[in-house]
Amino acid sequence: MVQLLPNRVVVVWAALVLATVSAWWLGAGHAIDAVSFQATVVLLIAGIKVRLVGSHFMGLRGAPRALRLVFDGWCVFLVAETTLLYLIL
Amino acid sequence: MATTANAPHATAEPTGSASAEGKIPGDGGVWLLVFADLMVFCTLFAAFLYNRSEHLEVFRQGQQHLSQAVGVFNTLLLLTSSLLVVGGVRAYQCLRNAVAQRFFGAAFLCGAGFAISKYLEYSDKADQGLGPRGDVFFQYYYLMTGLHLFHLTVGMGCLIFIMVQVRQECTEKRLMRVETNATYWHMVDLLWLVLFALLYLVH
Repeated sequence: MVQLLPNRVVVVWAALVLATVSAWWLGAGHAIDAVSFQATVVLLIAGIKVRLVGSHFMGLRGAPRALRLVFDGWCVFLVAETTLLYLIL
Repeated sequence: MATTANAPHATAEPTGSASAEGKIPGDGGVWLLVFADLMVFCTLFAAFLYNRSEHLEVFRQGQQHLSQAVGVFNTLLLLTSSLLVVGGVRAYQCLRNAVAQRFFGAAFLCGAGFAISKYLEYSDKADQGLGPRGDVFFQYYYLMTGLHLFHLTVGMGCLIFIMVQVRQECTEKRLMRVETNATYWHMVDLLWLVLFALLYLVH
């Protein structure tokens, strides 16, 4: 019998929930003083979450390499764009 | 080397355009739509961050009015809805129509929960006099979350369409339609992950 919610997918969901709560904890100003560092980590976490959704929920793991690369490239672009604009402007 | 797409069968294998190196989930066209949408939002993110730098205090004060707890709740709703959509697609691939319906129904409820939560959030802001014609932060807040809410509404239509499909026998075509619409829904989730970070968490 096929698992409708494979362990891999549930683990990814749990990681996404953990990442969400971690980012919230960071964003609430705990432990780390440097606001910029906080924000950068929050944006990095967002990029990781986006990549996880794409790979494991959207089925890109089994997709042609070109599509995976375009999506991964967009994830890198997203993180770079947001963190650089946040830090530089 | 092109091959014909696999027929639905009892193991959960994705369909879509098949090639020796992998299968595109759903129809290829939806991925063009997804990337186009992602780039539109990337432009909005850039504009948001630019305006933030120009009006830093306004943005910081505006963020104080947003509830991070509500943002987290909304994020968890959409993450869970995506998980449920994954289960639903796999159930349909395995020819378990009734189970698939329940998964997609539950995902729809999560989406509805998000919409209700957003409506309550907007109402609360309006009561405080923080409407879309307010300062630049709230202009961006309503623009970005409103555009996302529009996408979510379309996505809920996709879920309804999916629920109609999975009531019927799983054929190659129907499975393709289900996967295609599921991809759109995941995009709605994905966009919110970034919006949540930018609007609610990044100070």
